This record gives sequence, structure tokens and C-alpha cells, in this order.
Amino acid sequence: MDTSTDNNDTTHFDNGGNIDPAAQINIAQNRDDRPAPVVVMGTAELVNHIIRYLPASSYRSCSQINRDWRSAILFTSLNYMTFNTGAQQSFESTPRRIFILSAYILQYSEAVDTGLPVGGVSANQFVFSCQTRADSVDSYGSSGSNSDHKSGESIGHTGTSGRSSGMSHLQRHHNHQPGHDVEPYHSFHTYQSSAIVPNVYYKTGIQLPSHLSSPPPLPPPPILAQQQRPGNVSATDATLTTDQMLAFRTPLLPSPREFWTDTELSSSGLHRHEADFSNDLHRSSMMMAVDPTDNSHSHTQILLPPHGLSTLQQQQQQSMLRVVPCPYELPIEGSIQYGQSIAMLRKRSRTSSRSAHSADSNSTGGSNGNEPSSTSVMQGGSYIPHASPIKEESSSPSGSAMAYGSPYAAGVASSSSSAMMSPVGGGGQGSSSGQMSRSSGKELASEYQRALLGQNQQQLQQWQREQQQDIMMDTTSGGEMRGYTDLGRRSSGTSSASFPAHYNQHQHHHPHHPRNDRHHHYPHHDQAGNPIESFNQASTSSSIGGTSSHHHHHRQQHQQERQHVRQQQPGGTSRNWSMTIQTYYYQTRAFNAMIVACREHMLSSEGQGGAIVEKTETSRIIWNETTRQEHIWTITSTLMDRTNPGAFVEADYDPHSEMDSA
Amino acid sequence: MPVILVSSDNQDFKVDKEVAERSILIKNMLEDVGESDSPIPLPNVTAAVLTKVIEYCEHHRNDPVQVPEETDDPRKRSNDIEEWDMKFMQVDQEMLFEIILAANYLDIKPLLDVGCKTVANIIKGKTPEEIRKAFNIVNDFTPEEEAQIKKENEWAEDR
Repeated sequence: MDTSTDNNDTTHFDNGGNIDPAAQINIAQNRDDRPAPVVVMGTAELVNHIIRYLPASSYRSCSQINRDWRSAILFTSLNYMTFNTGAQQSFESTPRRIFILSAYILQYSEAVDTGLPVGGVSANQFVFSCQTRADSVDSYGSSGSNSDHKSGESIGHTGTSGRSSGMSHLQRHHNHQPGHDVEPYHSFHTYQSSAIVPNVYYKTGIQLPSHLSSPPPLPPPPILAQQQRPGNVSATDATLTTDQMLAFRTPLLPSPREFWTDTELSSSGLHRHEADFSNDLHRSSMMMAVDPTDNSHSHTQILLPPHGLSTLQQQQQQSMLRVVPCPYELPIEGSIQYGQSIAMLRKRSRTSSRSAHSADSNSTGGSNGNEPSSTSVMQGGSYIPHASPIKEESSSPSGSAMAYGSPYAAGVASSSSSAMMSPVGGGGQGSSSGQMSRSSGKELASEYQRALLGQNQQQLQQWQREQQQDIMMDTTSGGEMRGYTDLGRRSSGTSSASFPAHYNQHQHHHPHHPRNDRHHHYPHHDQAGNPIESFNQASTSSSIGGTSSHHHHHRQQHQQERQHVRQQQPGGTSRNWSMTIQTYYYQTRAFNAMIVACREHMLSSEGQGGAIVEKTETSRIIWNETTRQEHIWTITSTLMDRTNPGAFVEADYDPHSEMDSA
Repeated sequence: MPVILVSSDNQDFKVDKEVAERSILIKNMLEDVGESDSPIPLPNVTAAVLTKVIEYCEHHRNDPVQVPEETDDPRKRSNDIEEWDMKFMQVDQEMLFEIILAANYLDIKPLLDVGCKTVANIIKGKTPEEIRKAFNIVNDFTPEEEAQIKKENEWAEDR
């Protein structure tokens, strides 16, 4: 039987009048006269079939398939949607590591004469205070509250809260063991407050970002000891003198000569002392400068580092140890745009309400008319991605380069270690604490660098280990990164709505948990990431404890915090902060953006006078002695779940509604 | 029992039923029609292509039937082509795509896979323009449309 099917698909009958079996199930189709490649590529199913054989098992492969996919879609517009859908699904099925560029500002208050405190201190008081969160105590349930402190409180009063007050928010976070509800806080370096001694200041409790530092527990604090130098330090009954300090020395303490690493009389007659309060140089140190010629300071007080307070306060109830909390707030505002798969997070910190902390800070000069935030702006501009890390040039005013485990030692030149041994500039006037503080800034930076040396190495090692573990996701050296750092100037005196200060840290606490790397979404940002309208934020956020690993709980916490802030917001603000965080897909691009942001800041009018005090592969820290600000840029890696970009955005947040409701 | 297949250019091909049933289309048809000597017209397949298809089916006549779950693996690889299949696919580009079309039409999944893998290997590493040139494809996008497409798919850029 010679049966054929014509092109018209007509039905054929056999001689018996029966329908031809082949025609019963007509499998004939008109042949497409187009060229076969065109037909194949014009058939969505076939194209999809081809694409599915393109490799997508790794990040690099995913990159390859994307290129192939993009190539394929340009064949013809017929299958564009098919390609788009199929390839995007394939692309999103692969988790992707992104890097977040974070910028922080730590403001250190100017040294001012705070006058007579309640406890009887009558002399000039130098307060070197770090901005610690106003809710740092409340957030962790520690006893006491910084907000209750007033300037000039006696040690007895301070003693009740010395531990909590003296321990910074970061320290508390730091001591909070991983695995608990709250993961270790990081991303901040903490100069611990404070001192009431004229021209005496110290810093301690340096905390580094977790990806930069190892989190060993603080060593048991030795008791402060000091070599008495007649004429250098005078004391009264109400103050803790060096003799008294020596009296409290424990056998474990080093000898006075060992304790003081350096003593030098400057040309201006200013003695400088550097002491280490702990067994761990990286944890605690003290730098002290006393003007022996300044007889106006009848009361000399030396504050111990926070972890040494409890010991000392038990033995010296009448000392003038006092911790001066200074409000630190880093409220943030985030924005993620995923519309074109460019995850962008933009955050702006907000001003804090004028809480008791701010009042306290004001009393100590921490928030005087010279608003730090109003004079310091971290600026950034449009960032042009570079294929390789930017070769960084030093813009430091001083020339000494110090390498602290950083490959960019040439640029680290804010102050050398020898600066600590040199006389302090500024003449050492006891009352001119502002000048003193400025002159001491570089020393602080220098000591800061030294203290960071060991930790940086550990941090880098740890970070490198993490990178090795995540090498599967980071094999591509280049990357999609679009961003800029825009830390705009903020105006002060506005009312507050808030994000919690720890909010930014939260996202860094869970670098490997995409669910926990969610950020608030602020649709009111334009494409360039500039906020359409700013809003304020108080520093009275509540606890960050709880199950941070649970997104819902996390979100609920933030809602509670916002509500809490609204309730406690008195209206005034003491500081304004601004910061921008963006997500970057690749480390190299994020790193470049960090360098650009740092460089632009240093070239800006606000950033002039700043010096890089730390360079690592993930961070840049600039200390500006003029503004007494520490600007920190750091990048941290996290995973972004591309299959559900919506989950990356924690919640939409409308500051207008927030303000309205408040 | 042989089955007669008729190509689009009216050439008859007598093949074993076992071989013909590598095509799901023919297999289903034979099951529906039952025992019949009627030739099966394949107007969408030329004789040259049908020859290649029959050659492939002859070679794989004893291969187990693919399990759908296995074939739907999203992480398919294009480099796992058997040596015989690779040589089998060493044809000109027109024939390659004709085989793919025929395999798709006749529902011969293994042959379709081999063809698509081969095409995927050709696509790898080529720019859109090179792919167009390789496959003799005319870009029907306007520059504006192409720019728009690139913009819409910037997320896929991995540079």
C-alpha cells in the first residue's frame, strides 16, 4: 500500500473505503521552510532545551551561562521572554555572595571644661568619650543605665553602673557569646570613656569588626598602677592619685617602670605616660598626659578602663572614677533595589533624641555647639566599577608608614609609633583640653594602630579562612558592583524617628545567613540611592537580644524598637549621622568602592586633616583630629538568596508614616 | 515486523519496529493503530535527515528508555556526549539543526539531547555576534531594542 500524506493533510481512504490508519492519526505537519537554525532558535522549547545544557553548576558557570543566555536571546526577539524566564530562573537558583560596604562614624567629643561636678571635682575635666549607644545598657539588661549618669558623679555612684557603663555597648555585645540570641557585635572600634583628669585621657576596649578580629574574652583587669612622679599629678581626697593606685597594685601587676612604657617630658613641660591596664595590649591601654606646670587642676582623676572599674571601685569608693557615656547612635535606613537584580542597600543613620545620654554628653562637651555630625560628612560619589582593586595612594599628612598586616602599608601614615614617644603638641595647658585633645589625637591614632596590629592579623586570617570556605561562591574576581558611598550631611535639631543603632550590626552579625541579612527597604530612595527625604532616629532602641536567627522575631523586634523610639522620642536631637550601605556582588568591587569612599572623604573639606590609621583588606579607618571623628569603612560578605529577592528585603519602611504616627 | 517510514520527499524507509519505536511519536501511533502495513508518512523529515535519524535509532536500539526524572535534571551537562554520538553529530550545521528538529518532531529524546548538547557546545564562549554568524541568524532587534534588552539583563552580567 502506497500511502502518502499530502501537504494539505487531506484524509485518505483505502480501497475498502476505510480511513487510512496513518491518516487517522495525522502526524504530518507542514514543513517549515525557514533555515533549520532559525527554526530551532525560533522554537522556545528547543532553545530552552539547549540552554539547559549550558553549565550552571558554579558561580563561574553561572556567569558563563548568563553570557550564553544573553547571546541566545539576541538571536531573535521571538524567544526573548522564554530566554529571559528560563535563564533568570537558572541564574537565581545559584546562591550568590555579595559584599556589603558599610560606613561608620564614631564621634569623639572634644575635651572641654565641664565645671564642677556633683562629686566635688572642681578642676577642669577632660572627657574623652566615645559615642556609645544610649541604650547600650538597657539593651542587654545590664544593671544601671548610662542615661542616669550625670557629670561629676562620684565613683560610688559610678560604681553601681561602672561595669555596665564602662563596658561599651560593643563590649557587651562582644562578651555575649556566639550562639546566644545575639551574635557578637562588631564593626566598631571603641575608645572607652572617659577621664576627668585634666589632660588625661585613655582609650581602651578596642573592638574590631568580627570579620577583622578574633573575639577573645577580655582578660581579667589588673589594677591600675602608676609611677608617682612628684609634681606631675596632684591629688585630693576625692581623687585617685597615683599613690593610691600604687597602693592597690596587685602582685601580678608589673612594676611601675614596667607598667609605664614611656615617660617623657615634652618641651612644653607636658609629661606623657602610657600604660597598659591589662595583660593584653590589644585590649586595654592607657595614654596619659599631664601638664606638671598646670597648677590649676587641684583634682586629678584617672579613670580606669571599664573592665578595671569594678575592681577598683570596690577598693576606692571615693575615687573620682567616672564613666561618661556619650550617646552613640547609628540608626540606619536601608534601601534595596532589586528591580534589575542590583541589590542595593542604602542606609542612613539618624539623629538621636536628646536623651539623658545626650544631656550627659553635653555636660561633658560631647555634644556641644560644635556638633560633630554637622561638621563631618562622609561623602561619596558615583562609583565607576573597576576591574581590579584600586591602587591606593596615601593622603595622610604625616609620613611614617606603618604596616599592620595590611598590604597597603605605604598609605598608613597618620601617626607613627614614635609619635607616642614624642612630646605632645599643644603646650599642655590644663584648661585647654580641646587643644589637648587635638594634639593627642594622632597619638591615639598611633596607639590605636599598635593596638590593632595583633587583632588585624587575626582578623585577616579569620577572614581569609572564611573566604576560602566560600571560594565556590567567590571564584570570580570581577563582579557586578554599582555603588557609591554617599554619606550626606545631616542637619541637626530635627525630630527623631529611629532605627536602632545596632540595626546595622545585625546585618553583619549574620553574614552567612541570608535570612538574617535582610535590610529594610526604603522605596523613597531614588535610583541613585539618594534619599528623597530623611528622617531622624533616636538612639533609644531596645534590645537586640532574642532570636535574631528568626526573621519574624527579628522584624518584630525592629517594629518594637521603632515603637519604643516613638514613645521615647522627646523631639530634640543631639547628633546627626549619615551613612550609606550598598550591596556589592563581588569583593573586588566592594573593596574598590570602599577605597573610593575613603579617598573621597579625605579629599573632601570635611575629611581634610584625617589620616588613615588602619588599612586592611576589608576596612579603612580614618581618624580626623580636627573633627575628632573616626570614619570606618568596611566590607563584609554575605549570601544573597537570589531565588527570593523579596526575602532579602526585610520590610518596607515609610518614614513619612513613621513620622506621622509619631 | 518492519515499519515503513516515508520521508517528506517520498522516500520509503523500512525499519524494524523496535528501531522505529525509539520515536515516541511513531510508537504511540503504532500502538493506537495496531498491526498495520501502512507506511507512516513523515512529511516534516527529509530523506537525508531521516537517514541520520534511523542510523541513530539503530545504534541505540537497545538503550534503556530514559527516565523522565533523570532527563529533567536542571544541571545537565553538555560535555557528557558519548563518543559515537559525538561523531554522529559531526555534520554540517544545517543537518545538525535538521536532526534536532526531526528529533523534536519524532519525539526522540536522546537524539534531541545530543543535538542540543552539541549546539550548546557551539554556543559556549561565543559572543552574540559570533553566534549569529555561526548560525547564520539575522538579528531582528533594533538597536534600541537590543540596548533595552541588555539593560534589562544587566543582572546577568558577571564581569
